[in-house]
Amino acid sequence: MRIVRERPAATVGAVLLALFVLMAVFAQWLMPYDPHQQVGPVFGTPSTAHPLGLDDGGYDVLSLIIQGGRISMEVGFAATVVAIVLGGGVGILSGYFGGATDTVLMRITDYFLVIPDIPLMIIIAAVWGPSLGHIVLVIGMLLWTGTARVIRSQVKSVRERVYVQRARSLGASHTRIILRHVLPQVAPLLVANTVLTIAVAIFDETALAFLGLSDPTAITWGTMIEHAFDRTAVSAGAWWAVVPPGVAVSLVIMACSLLGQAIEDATNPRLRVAHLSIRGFRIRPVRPARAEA
Amino acid sequence: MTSKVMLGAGIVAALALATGCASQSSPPGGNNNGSHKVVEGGTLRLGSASSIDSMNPFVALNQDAYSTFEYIYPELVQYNAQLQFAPDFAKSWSTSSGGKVWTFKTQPGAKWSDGQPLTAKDAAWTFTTILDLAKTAAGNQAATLTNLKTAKATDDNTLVLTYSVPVANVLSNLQQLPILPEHVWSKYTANNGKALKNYANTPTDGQPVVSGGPFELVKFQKDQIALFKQNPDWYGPKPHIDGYGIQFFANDDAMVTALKNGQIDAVEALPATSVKTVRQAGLTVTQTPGEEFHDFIFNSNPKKPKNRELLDPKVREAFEYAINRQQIVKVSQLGAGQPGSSIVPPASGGGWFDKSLSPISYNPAKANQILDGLGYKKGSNGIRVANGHPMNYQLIFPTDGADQRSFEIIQNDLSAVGIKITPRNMDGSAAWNATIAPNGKYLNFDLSMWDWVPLVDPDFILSAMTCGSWNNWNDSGYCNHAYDRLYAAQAVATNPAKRHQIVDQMQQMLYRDKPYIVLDYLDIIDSWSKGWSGFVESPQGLYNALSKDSLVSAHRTS
Repeated sequence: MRIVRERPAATVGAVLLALFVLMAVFAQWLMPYDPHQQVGPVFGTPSTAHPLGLDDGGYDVLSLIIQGGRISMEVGFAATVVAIVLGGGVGILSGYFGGATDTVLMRITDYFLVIPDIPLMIIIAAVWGPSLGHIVLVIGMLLWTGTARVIRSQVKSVRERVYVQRARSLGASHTRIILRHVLPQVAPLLVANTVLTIAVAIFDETALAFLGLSDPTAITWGTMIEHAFDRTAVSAGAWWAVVPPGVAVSLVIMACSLLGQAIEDATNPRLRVAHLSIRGFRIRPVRPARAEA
Repeated sequence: MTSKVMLGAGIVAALALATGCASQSSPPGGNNNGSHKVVEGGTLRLGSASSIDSMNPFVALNQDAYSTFEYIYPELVQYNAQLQFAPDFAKSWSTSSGGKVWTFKTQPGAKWSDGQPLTAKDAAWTFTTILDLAKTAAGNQAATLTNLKTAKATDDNTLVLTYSVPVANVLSNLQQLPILPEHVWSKYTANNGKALKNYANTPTDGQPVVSGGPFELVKFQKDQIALFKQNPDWYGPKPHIDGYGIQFFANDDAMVTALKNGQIDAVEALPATSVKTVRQAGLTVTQTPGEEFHDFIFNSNPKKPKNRELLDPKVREAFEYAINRQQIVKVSQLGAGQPGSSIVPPASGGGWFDKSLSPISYNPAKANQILDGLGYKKGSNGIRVANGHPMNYQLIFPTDGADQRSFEIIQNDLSAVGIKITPRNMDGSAAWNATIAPNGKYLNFDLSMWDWVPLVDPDFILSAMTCGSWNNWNDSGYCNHAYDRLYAAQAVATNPAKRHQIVDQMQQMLYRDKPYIVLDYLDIIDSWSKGWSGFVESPQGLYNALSKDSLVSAHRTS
């Protein structure tokens, strides 16, 4: 709660994100029309009956946005779970055990870090075939590296703390130390990383769907944009088929970034020190400035 | 969308396009010059959202490439605007020996664009080379010369083709075949044609490609631009325009915007969704029935082990009653098309379409009645049960060939009569593999959807339903020996009336057995800006491989 008070941006992010999550949860009751039923002419203009108009299949855009948000966010969250479990796991094991384990895991991480994400995702999605499950796996498998790096460095410092040393000398098992002493210390960082990863995952899902690599029969914000683009919504002047899903994606990403960065700033001790933090927006002069002579 | 359709029909359409072309010829002036003034000169700027994959006829697959060959190379014959055969490089032709020998009189005194003589010998050389290399480098052209034994030029203006059996569609085959300059290409056909496929056939050192059509290719940058100027040595009537260019766009939106802004003068295959805005911008828009159709496919292999109720023509009839094809045309084509019935589209010309066949109209009550009559009662979840299992089927959905919106309509329509279908999305080649699985036996799949772009002559599309086309073009597992006998009979029926009768019989057979439900025939939409006229439209659009007339008669009006 202190985070919220100190950082108004976090409040904005949290509220926005909460709204979208609520929209997804209560989608069934919020949708004015069945998003699988054609309810009017192709590219019907916005009206009181259809505030956001109709898309290239004659479906109600508002209903699609609500339903699409549900699936886009499901995919984003699921991919994030994959990424966080992988990244957190690798980070903790690597940081805690160090030595050969660390070297091996970090070299693997390095490999994944230098792979250009989007091209690889495109290739894998194309090879495996279009399906939401594949998209979740592909995104998850490529987004864990950052988390692994951050968690590892934090674990490295936690593991040297006195109470961890004491637990170890009392004969506590590795599992116990990791679960009882290390994990709680890095948990806030994991949360921050999760929220930030959600933003990237949703963006990636949209990008892949736009390229036609997601399940074309699933309604997501990305496939909405893809369909509109495919059927020349832009030159046909049907802006309502393109703009709403684009705005929705931007809002969710913005919400996640605001909230995630606020949590990260508040919980990551390294970021709290202003002299290296680009996120603090405060530059402490080395010496008080003084006019010449 | 255009490029998607091209790729999407995938293996299927790509080759159909490769072997398929047609053209029309009408007197210069075209069919839509009206009372417009003809202004000579100027350069026509065409837009395309597809591409020319290669300028080498032994490599190219895309429609745009074959349309281009039509304009830079001579063909023996072409089609007129009514899709009847008209002279091109051959001024006249006759047949003897019961249809086995064809004699063509070619244009006297013709020249290639480099000044070398263009004679019947070039044609004989081209055909002989394709025959010699049929199994290797010239494989993609070989089908057009099926059963040809020899091609000989008895003098500079006489070409004699001798076939081993009478062939019914000689002219439509030859119409697709560009005649190449021997003095340019002979060095690439040596050594069994090893170097043939590597030859780019593009302008080098500022020299245009040696051409024998109304235009010569002066510049080509793949996926960007192709430029042509008038070939003063051409044997035919002088075009009105000085030249033309094709600009290639990565997507339809960019192309339509360029058209509206006057950066290009004309496009073909305008997306139906753009018609309204383009019209509002003051451009001419025309709709012509096209050759492409979408189909809903039942696995028709009688040996398929599972879901055998789908082999029952009555069940297929119920499917057809349940599907609202008017709605499909309305949503996916915005009305630019019509519900389909036969695999030979009415637009393909020549009167091959059997007019007695009409699409079964939408009638879900009738569908329910048929399914109830078969005893397939609805379960508690609303899905009917047939032979002890729910009528719940997977449908192979080639994401780059079938239409998403059409599928959604079909899925809803079928669910309304108690049949559930679930799509299995895959790209074209995966869909093909899933269709013929396992090992080319067509045992696994139940349903699929795809599209075809047939040729003017029905031979090719009819061949796709034969047993002999299994693992090749046949995507339904249909195999009917009576049908195959008819197919063989039409191929050698040199009497057109006789052939028409057989082709009608074959269409009726397919209509009855329903390996396909032909969902819709698509119109082709052309558009050009003010100040242009004279284009000759066709089922392949205004820039097509059917005839040289369109760009010869196209002209400025101001």
